[in-house]
Amino acid sequence: MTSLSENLKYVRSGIGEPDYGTPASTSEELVSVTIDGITRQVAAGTSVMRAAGEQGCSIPKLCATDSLEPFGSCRMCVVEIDGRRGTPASCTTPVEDGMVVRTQTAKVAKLRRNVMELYISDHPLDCLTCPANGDCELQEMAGVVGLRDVRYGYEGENHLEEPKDSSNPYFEFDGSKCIVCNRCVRACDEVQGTLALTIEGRGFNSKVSPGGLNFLSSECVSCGACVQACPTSTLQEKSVIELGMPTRTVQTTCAYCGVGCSFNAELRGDELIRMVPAKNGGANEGHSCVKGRFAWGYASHKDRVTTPMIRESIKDEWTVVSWEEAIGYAATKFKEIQAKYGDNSIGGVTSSRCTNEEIFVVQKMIRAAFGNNNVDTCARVCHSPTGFGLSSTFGTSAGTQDFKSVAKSDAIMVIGANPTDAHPVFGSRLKKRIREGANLIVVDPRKTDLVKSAHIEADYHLQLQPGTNVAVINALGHVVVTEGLVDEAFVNERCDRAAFDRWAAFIALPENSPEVVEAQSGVPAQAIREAARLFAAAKNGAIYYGLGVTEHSQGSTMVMGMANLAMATGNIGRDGVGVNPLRGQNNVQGSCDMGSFPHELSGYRHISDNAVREQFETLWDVKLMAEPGMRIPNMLDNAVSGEFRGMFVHGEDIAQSDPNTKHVMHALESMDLVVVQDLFLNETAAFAHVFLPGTSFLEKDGTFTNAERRINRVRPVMAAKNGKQEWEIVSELATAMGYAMHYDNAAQIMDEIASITPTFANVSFELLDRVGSLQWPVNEKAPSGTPIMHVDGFVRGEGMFVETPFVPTDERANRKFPLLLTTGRVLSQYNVGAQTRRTENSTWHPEDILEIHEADALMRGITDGMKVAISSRIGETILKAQVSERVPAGVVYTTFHHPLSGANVITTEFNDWATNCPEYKVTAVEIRPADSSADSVNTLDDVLMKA
Amino acid sequence: MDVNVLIRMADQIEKNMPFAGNKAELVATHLVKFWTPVMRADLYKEVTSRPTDFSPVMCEVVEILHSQANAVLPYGGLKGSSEA
Ligand code: SF4
Ligand code: SF4
Ligand code: SF4
Ligand code: FES
Repeated sequence: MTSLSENLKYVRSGIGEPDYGTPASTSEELVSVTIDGITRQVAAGTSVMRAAGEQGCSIPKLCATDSLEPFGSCRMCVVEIDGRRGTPASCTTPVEDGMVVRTQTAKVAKLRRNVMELYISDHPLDCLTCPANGDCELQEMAGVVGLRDVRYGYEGENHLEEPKDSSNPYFEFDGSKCIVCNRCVRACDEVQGTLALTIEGRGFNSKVSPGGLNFLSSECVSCGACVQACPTSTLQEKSVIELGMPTRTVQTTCAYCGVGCSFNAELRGDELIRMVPAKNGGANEGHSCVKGRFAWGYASHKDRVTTPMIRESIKDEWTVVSWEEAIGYAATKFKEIQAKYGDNSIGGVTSSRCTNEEIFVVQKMIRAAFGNNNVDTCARVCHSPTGFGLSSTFGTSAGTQDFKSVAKSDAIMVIGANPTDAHPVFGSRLKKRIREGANLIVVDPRKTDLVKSAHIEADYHLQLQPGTNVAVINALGHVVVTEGLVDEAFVNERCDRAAFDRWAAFIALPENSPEVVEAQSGVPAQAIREAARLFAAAKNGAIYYGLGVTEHSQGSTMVMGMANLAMATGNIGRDGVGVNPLRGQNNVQGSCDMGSFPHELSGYRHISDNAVREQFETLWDVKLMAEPGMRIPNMLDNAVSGEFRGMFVHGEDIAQSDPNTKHVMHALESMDLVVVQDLFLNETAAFAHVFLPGTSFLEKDGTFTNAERRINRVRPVMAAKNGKQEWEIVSELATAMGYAMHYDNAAQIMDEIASITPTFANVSFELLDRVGSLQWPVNEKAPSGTPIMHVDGFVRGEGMFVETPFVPTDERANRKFPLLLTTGRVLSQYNVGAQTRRTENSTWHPEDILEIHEADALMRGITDGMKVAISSRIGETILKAQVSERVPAGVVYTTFHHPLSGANVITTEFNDWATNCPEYKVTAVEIRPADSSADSVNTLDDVLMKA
Repeated sequence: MDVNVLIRMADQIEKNMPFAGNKAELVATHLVKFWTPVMRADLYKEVTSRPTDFSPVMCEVVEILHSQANAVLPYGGLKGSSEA
């Protein structure tokens, strides 16, 4: 018998992963089935096709693929089953106890050949020149079923003249090759949940249609699921058409959002041809979004700088220098600054875009070589309140679940998050669960796609005023407590009862009632009451949240408010429940885990803890400061006042991403030395004296940790264009400053992290390569990792309820600035856009848009598409207006992906009380039609030009 | 660092501090955990130079900071120290 893998090779050709035809059954019940003489125990509900494939007897197929439910349309997979009439399709027939199946009889062979003959008679015979040659299931099946001739000839009525649709920038649709197997339509429905495709017409006239004019103008979000599902070359990546079929693969991790999708980077020689989502990826299980799947071209964009550069003054031109010179220059300058202004006059920022290993090394350099704790991370500006809030209540700075868990949720509350745009692969999982019947509560000032889109409608949309999250979460808690909906057993068993009693007394106060909160938040009291009842009554209630929670003056309070609600309703510690941050960047979780906050070492241990600090001191052979260092805003404030003079900025564009741009720029230009390590000369680099070129994720060797605490390997797909790994550069800088640091490879850095970080104790590259990915804690108690936290008890012991009084932000709408601006993301762009703007993704979002309600627009003489000036008490910028029903009157919304619009020119200095996370989500503004000549000043570019 | 920024931050912490216990101690602990010693010393100098402009809680906070410059106090039952 041929081996399993050999057999499966003909089921999915090329370099792809095996395809068992139908999804695995989740049943625990086993049945006994005999296939081609082999008797095995198989999970009940498994299809005959899959059971056969698993034992190495692959059955030919066309319309089946294991990412989709079986459809049974092609009849290629027929088998004979003892005691059954006819020849059932093996993909739609589940195994039964005692079933005897024969997959290779003369009868089924003939039937399969006949079916194939019909397909081929209406298919172009251009296999040798077809881009999918070698990766086409039709071609392969024709061989497998032994088709040698087509009796009907090729002259009959056919589809060979069907036009091509090349409108999507990344893939092409060639209707002449379509076998109408419906896999693309089902992929769009079942996997992506966009429902953009249909089969139009009947019988011979059936064809795939994206609706509208073409793919680009349709609902399609370019996730690539249909392309992947297509067994022919009908839907094909343009890169494959242009460059040819890949020949080898390297598995790695997407470097965009916090979902952390695994991808097979498929190459031809050293050239990357395409990124295909990996079916064995723990976070994505074979799905992707337009960013990870297609928007990787920035890595070889012409703007990329690959040589080190220095300059004396930011007014000078850059001079290209050797690594040695650049590193020597930076080290000497840093040391000079410290000699003149003291040890604390320099510091650095780590990046959530970089690997755990790079981040660990940067914070080590700052603590050990700079000799201070002035290290902070860009997570400061996104999810710092998550850690504060969740560690205060549960004892861990991380989300409680794996992404899979949502499939078991019965009521899902999405607060201040827009997963279909910002965390699309999780968004697809969530939509799938909603389509299956789970209830959905959306808490958001804006009508996101989750509120209403194809086959999705939220049961409740609590459309609150920006800045009133805490009031609303308190009102939800109020209903739970005052209407007797508390899960008393959970609270008694798992939580600090005295803390609960204090909280319950507080939350029951009339000031927290939905009726009072209605006046503050604008959310009808009845809707709050009903939503609370729905959530509390659900068997499994889960909360997912994003930056719409954290980026507020009360971000930390809100995180604790959500934790209170989850505990009061008993929704912690099992599948389908939990409190889950949707992290913005790919490695926000990792950058926090790796000790890049100024007050704590890796694994969230305070720097003042003598025992912990001494361990690091021994390992690193250096004395560490025992006091917290400066946070990013502290560094910038101190730069303005002249006490902070030098900064190492690792892979972050703080000039664009941090609030109050003018202030940030003033701080940057006040410093004597700014060292930027990045792929591009970003906005921050305009203020830099040393530029150290970085590596793209395609060149990195290391790990990222996603929002489910999943540690994923990032493997180098190509050689580093700058010639060095970033941890190498940082080690050389530390060494040049007098603290010798050296690693032979990234695996050694992970070994060091594991040796000193209890939650990473058992992690190593070797283990990760063996098992795929691991969710921390990974230690002796949990050697295979921890998909769900707080199962038998909270990490802190007992769950801690915290009273969460609503303290409104000082940022208020007033007569001068009567509207509230809130911000978000779109699907196709990412963060400040440095990467996605350098790809074809800009096809979908070429500029930032300001959404404004019709009434507010009308009052100001603003029409759709008009350029408007938007001003806050901090600054003014220009955006294009879109009159929209997504925002209520009094609220406007924009994204921050383009430096030209510079949304942060207008955001304020207000921030979270506990963590200084900026209040990006609430800015009082006024808007007026822009006079194009006078109003083109003060955009980020102008601020930059003037600087 | 601009002392007005420090005062604004300290006031905000006082106003929002949600944990149960002695408020001045809780605020002081927060500052010990998350502020640099220089920031704490600057706040102390400012508050003690014009105490009538500050709340009694803030006056107590800086006294605690001064007396226990480097101590980490118990923090509303909080065991972790994280913020990520
Ligand atoms: S790319 Fe994604 S959204 Fe677009 S049609 Fe295909 S499956 Fe649907
Ligand atoms: S485009 Fe591909 S997946 Fe869709 S029906 Fe045609 S052959 Fe099947
Ligand atoms: S951007 Fe996020 S959802 Fe999209 S492929 Fe990358 S990790 Fe996955
Ligand atoms: S693969 Fe079973 S009917 Fe098509």
